[in-house]
Amino acid sequence: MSPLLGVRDLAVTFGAQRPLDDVGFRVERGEILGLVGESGSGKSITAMTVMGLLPLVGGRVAAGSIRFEDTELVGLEEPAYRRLRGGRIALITQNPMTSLDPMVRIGRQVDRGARLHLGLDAATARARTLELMERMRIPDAARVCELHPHQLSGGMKQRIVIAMALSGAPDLLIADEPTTALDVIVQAQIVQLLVELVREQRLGLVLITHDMGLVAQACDRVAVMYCGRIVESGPVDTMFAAPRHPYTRALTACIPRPGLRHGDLVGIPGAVPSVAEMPTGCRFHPRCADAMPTCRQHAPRSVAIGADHAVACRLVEPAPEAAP
Amino acid sequence: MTPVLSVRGLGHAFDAPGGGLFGGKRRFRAVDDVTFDLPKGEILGVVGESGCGKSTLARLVMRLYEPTDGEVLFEGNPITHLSRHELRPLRRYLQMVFQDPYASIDPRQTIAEALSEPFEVQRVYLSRAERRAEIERLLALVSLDPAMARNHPHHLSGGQRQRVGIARALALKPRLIAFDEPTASLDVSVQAQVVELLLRLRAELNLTYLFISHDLALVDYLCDRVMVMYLGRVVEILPSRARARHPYTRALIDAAFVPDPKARRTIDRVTGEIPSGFADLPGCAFAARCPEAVAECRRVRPPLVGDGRRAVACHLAPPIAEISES
Repeated sequence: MSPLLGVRDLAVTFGAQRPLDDVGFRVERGEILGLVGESGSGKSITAMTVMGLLPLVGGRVAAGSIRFEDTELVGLEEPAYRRLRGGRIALITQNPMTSLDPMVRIGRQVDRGARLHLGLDAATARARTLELMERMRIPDAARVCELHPHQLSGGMKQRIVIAMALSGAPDLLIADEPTTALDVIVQAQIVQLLVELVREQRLGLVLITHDMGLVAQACDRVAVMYCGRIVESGPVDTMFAAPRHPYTRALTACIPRPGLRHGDLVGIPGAVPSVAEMPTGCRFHPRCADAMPTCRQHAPRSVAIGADHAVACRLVEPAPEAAP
Repeated sequence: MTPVLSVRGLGHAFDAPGGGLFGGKRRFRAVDDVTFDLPKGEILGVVGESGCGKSTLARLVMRLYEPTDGEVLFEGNPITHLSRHELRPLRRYLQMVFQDPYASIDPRQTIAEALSEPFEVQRVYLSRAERRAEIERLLALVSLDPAMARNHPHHLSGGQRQRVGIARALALKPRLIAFDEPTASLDVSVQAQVVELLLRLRAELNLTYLFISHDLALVDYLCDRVMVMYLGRVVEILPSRARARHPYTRALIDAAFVPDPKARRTIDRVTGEIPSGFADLPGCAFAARCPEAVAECRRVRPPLVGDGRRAVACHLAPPIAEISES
């Protein structure tokens, strides 16, 4: 059976720049995929590409395929995309104010998805809105419907945005740093709600984040991005217990966690290069402690090294002559 | 030994418009009766959610804001009532590093100019050769290439800019540095570098830090002690990695995402969100959200009880003697 979302060999260009190259991943129903990486890794561009929003920012898909169930999204005409977007595929952004209209009452904004994509009349759509808001544990939902966004706290606004995303009954949610702007306790509450939703309604969720803690707590599978490429992907337990790509390993070693002593937090030398100055070969080689001369010249291909575990690193690739 | 910094009953309150068109003014307490000591060489972390007053506290200590109550003592001397003129010679010993280094460096200045500014402000005369040597010394301290002196801030990465911000704070050989979320806008791989740099600098230069952050795991790693704030008040001060006694501290720890998929957990102990700080609450500020609150918590404000190292403001907290250390 084909996955809910399957991305293969995806490359995106902005003029001469190529912020995404050879990106592939899949998401099944009822599954949470963590797309993790530092700034400039291409996570948000990946989200925009799947949502069909790339033309808005002047980018184009140069190669590859994005399949949503049986529909090919690359090259899909805008009217057809519009029926999917907000309906079957929904986006949750980091800053709720990029999704909320400051001039419109909350209720009307949440109603829209159901009216537009499910064809509900005003009263039925509002009933659905109240149900979704209660599902998001928004107290006193009927009163909140009459408020404007500025009257709500950040955590409450983010709950509204999630309710809005669910309004059109989507199958796939793409959440781009949905809790980054929130305080820890509210963040934990909202992540818990998202996880419950995915499990109950068998949604697919692409959770885009820079936070390895969030990945560990919420995701089933993880794809690590660096400079527009996926360097390693696999089940969350494998990725934390036995990461194979030097970047995944270095990234994990950068996170403060219980039991560390001063000096244990090594960091990764240098910084993420800008899109205009992408290194040749493996894009991580200038910062990699294990880099060999070949890493500078040849981009590594992603190879399967275990159950559902793939790595794009020449050090991991079994060389044919080295086989015993 | 006299602590580098002593804070006694410090408060910052202001009047805000009340509810409705003709509502009276309401007293808003951003920082409310904060007391602590910071001994020489220690790193004290200040954590709490947004709006808890941690950044305001740092600015009060630096006297960037004027306190409305209480006192700040630097090396035993009160500095709260000094005039701007009297404060000036002390400023070199009290430095602050902000979250966004781009906002604190003039984009038209070269790094060399940015690093010589503290000397000009404090009227420390340097010959050209001395100035060059100072800039080289400062760049070396924060592990930046001396050639970077000729660059402008936009040529630098976020991590490099923050190193410049730190170098500038070090220029006049400070004794206390307050950091306000210095790594919050950096990638984790760069944050780790900066955190290790701060540890090295403390050891080399015998510095004392006040470290403001929302990241409990980071504070636990870097700091010697942690002060937890809620709605302008200190709810607990405890050594890093010690067992928390205040329910709010425990809620913060429970809510933090541990980077280990084998240690997954659900949190539903604490519900709701931080109320706005307007209500001048008679009892404990956290009572409304606390899963353990009893009637007394809503009526009587719990005092901060403990010794100099460790204290808690909770009617229900077990005494230190009764908790087992992990």
